Amino acid sequence: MMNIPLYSLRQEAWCDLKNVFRSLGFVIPVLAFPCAFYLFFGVTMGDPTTSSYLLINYIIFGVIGPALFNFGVNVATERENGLLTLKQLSPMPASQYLLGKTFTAIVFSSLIFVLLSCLAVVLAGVNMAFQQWMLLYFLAVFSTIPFCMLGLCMGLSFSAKTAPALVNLVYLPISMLSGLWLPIALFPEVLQLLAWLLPNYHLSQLGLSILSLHQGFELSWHVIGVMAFTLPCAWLATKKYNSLQ
Amino acid sequence: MTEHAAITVEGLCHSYGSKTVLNELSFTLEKGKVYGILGANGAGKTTLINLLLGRLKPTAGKINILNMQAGSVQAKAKVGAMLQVGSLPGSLTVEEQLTLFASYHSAPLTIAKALRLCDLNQHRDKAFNQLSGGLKQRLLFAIAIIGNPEIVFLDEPSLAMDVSARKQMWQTIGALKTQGKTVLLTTHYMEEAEALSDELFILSKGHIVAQGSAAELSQSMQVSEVSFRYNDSLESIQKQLNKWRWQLDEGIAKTRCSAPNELLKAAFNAGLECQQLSVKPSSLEQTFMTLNKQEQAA
Repeated sequence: MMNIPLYSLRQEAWCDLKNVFRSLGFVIPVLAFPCAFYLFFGVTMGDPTTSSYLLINYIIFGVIGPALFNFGVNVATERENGLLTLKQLSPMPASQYLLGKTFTAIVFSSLIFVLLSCLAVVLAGVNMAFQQWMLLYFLAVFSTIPFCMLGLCMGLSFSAKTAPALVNLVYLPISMLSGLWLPIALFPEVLQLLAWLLPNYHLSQLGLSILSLHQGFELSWHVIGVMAFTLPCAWLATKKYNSLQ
Repeated sequence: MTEHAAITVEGLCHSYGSKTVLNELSFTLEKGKVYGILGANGAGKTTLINLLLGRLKPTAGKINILNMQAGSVQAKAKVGAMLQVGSLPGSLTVEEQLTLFASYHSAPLTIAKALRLCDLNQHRDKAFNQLSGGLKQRLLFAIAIIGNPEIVFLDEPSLAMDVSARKQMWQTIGALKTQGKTVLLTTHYMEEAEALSDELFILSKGHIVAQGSAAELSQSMQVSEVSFRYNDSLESIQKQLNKWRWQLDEGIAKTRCSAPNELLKAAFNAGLECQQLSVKPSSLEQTFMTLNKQEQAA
């Protein structure tokens, strides 16, 4: 007998993925942006160590985009045009809708990981052990979660017109301030302290620790830093989602 | 709640801040019947549907949906809805959308059946963004019934539909009724309300001001429409039968009155021949307009 929730969850995830993949205006920038950055800074201007350093940072930078945009912009649009209401009227649990979107973000994270890793290996001569690649992949997948939560908060709070601008306003500055584009050590001390508030800084440090390129703080602090950002966002998103019902 | 009742509403009130939108509504909707809600814009129709769907919490009163609480997961499994606002993922095809929404239910209609019922078979591979306004409405209607619900709420379902699509939807609603489903629809089309509804509710200022079949409502007004052929001018008939307000349209004089016998007597006394004479009860539209006017004046 068909397992309805699992079948339904699969349909939800598959349909969200198909819908997003058919929007080239979403797919191309989300995939091309980190690749173009890595080609320019990581491949043409770097030695293998710098290329490895930038690979990790650009993977973290890359996974933020699909998570923030698929939640921030698409949830705002679907809330406003009534799709979310139609789904809420069905017996489908709310978590299914969110899991479907998270699945799409994870597929994009995986694609970004594969694309950047291929560029790094083939063009920049980056060499890592299998275990290190796997750790980096799991980090890439894990890194989508805080930004899915942040995107969800934004998508449930702002209008479909406002959300894209605000997502961009968050996406680019936090990437820069967390040291994803330039090494954090080059920043003034105040900005280095500010980076501790940003989850992508902690994720980047966790990633860099795989190659012992991190700043040297205890890794548990970075895990706490990610959680301290993710859990309040998840709490706020749940509160906002429930208030819509 | 009796076993024949699909929905029971008792003393239902709803306010937005200090503005009362629905006031002390009580009614029972029986299984296997089609009910229509008529009301001017702002009468509270959509608020009522939202309350029945559990999207809004009533300020006071009780709602019972098939012995379940409105908005509960159990009730959602038995209810389908087509609301005024509703869009779908733009790049998914009609078939993909129906497959997705069918997956939310434990015993849905087959996709083929839903496509056939809503006459969407030839559009099954088109993306939502490629559909005309009327086809989008048909797809939203298909989604409302895909879960094979016991109760279907339709909030102005035929908006933007062409005549043939509207008639197709009427047939489908008729088929739902035959299967024992309960349908509650709001509409601005009197013809639609009259053709589909077993019982109508006229809502004004948050109250039910009239309730009954279309024929019962028309008769309750005790107003008739009298018309006959008249070859002279409007001024002339207005002068001869000045107790009534006349209209002259392509040689047919028309008026509305509560005592047609008195009017006909006056016409014969005035020497009018009254060819093509017709005395009809007031139309649903006239009844609605009159009730609405009375309520606004009150």
